[in-house]
Amino acid sequence: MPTDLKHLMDDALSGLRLSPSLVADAKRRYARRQRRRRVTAGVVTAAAVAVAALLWSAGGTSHSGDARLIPIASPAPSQPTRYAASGILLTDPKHGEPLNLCGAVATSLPPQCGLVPVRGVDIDSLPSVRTLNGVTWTDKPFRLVGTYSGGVLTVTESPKLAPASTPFVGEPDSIDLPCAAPPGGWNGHGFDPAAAAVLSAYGAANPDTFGGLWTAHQQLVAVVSTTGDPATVRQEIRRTYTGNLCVTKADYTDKFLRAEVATLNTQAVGDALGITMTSVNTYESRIDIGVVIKNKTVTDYLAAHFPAGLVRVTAFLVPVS
Amino acid sequence: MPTPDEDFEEFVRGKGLGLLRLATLLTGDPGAGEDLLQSVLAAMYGRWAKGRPPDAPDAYARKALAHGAQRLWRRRRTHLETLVAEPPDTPQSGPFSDPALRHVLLAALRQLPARQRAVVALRYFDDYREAEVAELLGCRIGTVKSHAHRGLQRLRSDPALAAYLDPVTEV
Repeated sequence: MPTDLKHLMDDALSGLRLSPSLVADAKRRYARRQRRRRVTAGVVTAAAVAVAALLWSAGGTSHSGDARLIPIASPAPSQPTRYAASGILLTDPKHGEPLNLCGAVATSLPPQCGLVPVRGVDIDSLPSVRTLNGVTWTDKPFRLVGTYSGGVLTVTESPKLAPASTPFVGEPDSIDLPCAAPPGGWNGHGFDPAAAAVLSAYGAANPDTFGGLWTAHQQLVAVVSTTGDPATVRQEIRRTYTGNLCVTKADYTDKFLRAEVATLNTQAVGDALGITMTSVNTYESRIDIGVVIKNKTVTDYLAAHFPAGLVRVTAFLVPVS
Repeated sequence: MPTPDEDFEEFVRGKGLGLLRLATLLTGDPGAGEDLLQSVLAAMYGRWAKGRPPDAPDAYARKALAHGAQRLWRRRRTHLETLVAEPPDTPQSGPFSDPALRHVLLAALRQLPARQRAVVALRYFDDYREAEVAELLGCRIGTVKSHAHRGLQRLRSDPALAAYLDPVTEV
């Protein structure tokens, strides 16, 4: 239906609604700006004092307070282990969510996330902070360092912008192809997706030896792993599949790995160990899990329930020396 | 006698929705629009808090939104990711049943340079006269005319939006 631009705009925007917390959010933003101005002024003054002190005495030192840290109790004399972790910070006080350092983030607007509750940081004093519908979060990830106790990270150093994240290392093309190229090289036509059905059928028919199936070498080569004899398996597959093929040895079957991951995914185990993610690593025939912190509970449980080397643990909080 | 806080809240209650709509058109994105409006309101609240509210707060806010959107555009022109608070296929109320209308309109507006977008939004959504738009944006009337002309031309040439637009109404 043709119309004029005014009506078109009116209609397109008719569903927009003001956020009920707009006024409160704006006031909070104003307060944040005021606080940042005061901090900047304080830092400039402190710097001027420090320069004056240096001019007066070459051996003098100066110390300016850090405005981004909320004063907390002095650290215990025993110097507890300090941990570092990076992520965006988010707080949703309206729904009782305290300040959290996030792992995975749902990219809604406002975002939703949470992992480790944080104490000792004033989010309003950080740069790149946004507020929407009462939720306040940082647009960029920050690296926090502090002590961890009772499930809470108590920050002891100024938050710093985190460096850009490194890509996940487990992608198929980043893993070396475990077979040498045949004489004359690989067929350059690429992996035919239709052939996946043939190879998957082989895996389904041999659950007690089938380790996994993936493509590698720029998706030119199908890789099948087996706990059986690779040469025998290769001959079997060659009866029905003629494309580029690499058969390699697996330590565990796909069926076994999935069953073990299912154990880790139960609520009780997940809660006890603080598991944040689990995945079957087909390429390396093992299980990858993420935990909040790799403590004695985690290492004892894994040692008691899994063969050594089967589960690789990545902790969100990493000890710093 | 209302307190400065009450006065500010009354202003947002009365004019906020219109300002949000303008901010959405200026940024081409509802989330960015709300963020821009919040930023402008935060600055305006400072004026109220200091006992110096603007004489014409509505015009002040619209001018601040237009200038803020241009600053945003200059800063973010290399970062074109758009956050959506709701999927584009969410049905909207209104006389049209096409659920993608807002998505189509904002996508087309995002293709315009910030100044053109501001002229189109102020001139055709807020019904400002050319002289008023020129005063708000701090440019000549001739500049407003040429931006309005080019902006409309580009919107009409957008294949998704063209289907909605009457080819003779605006020129």
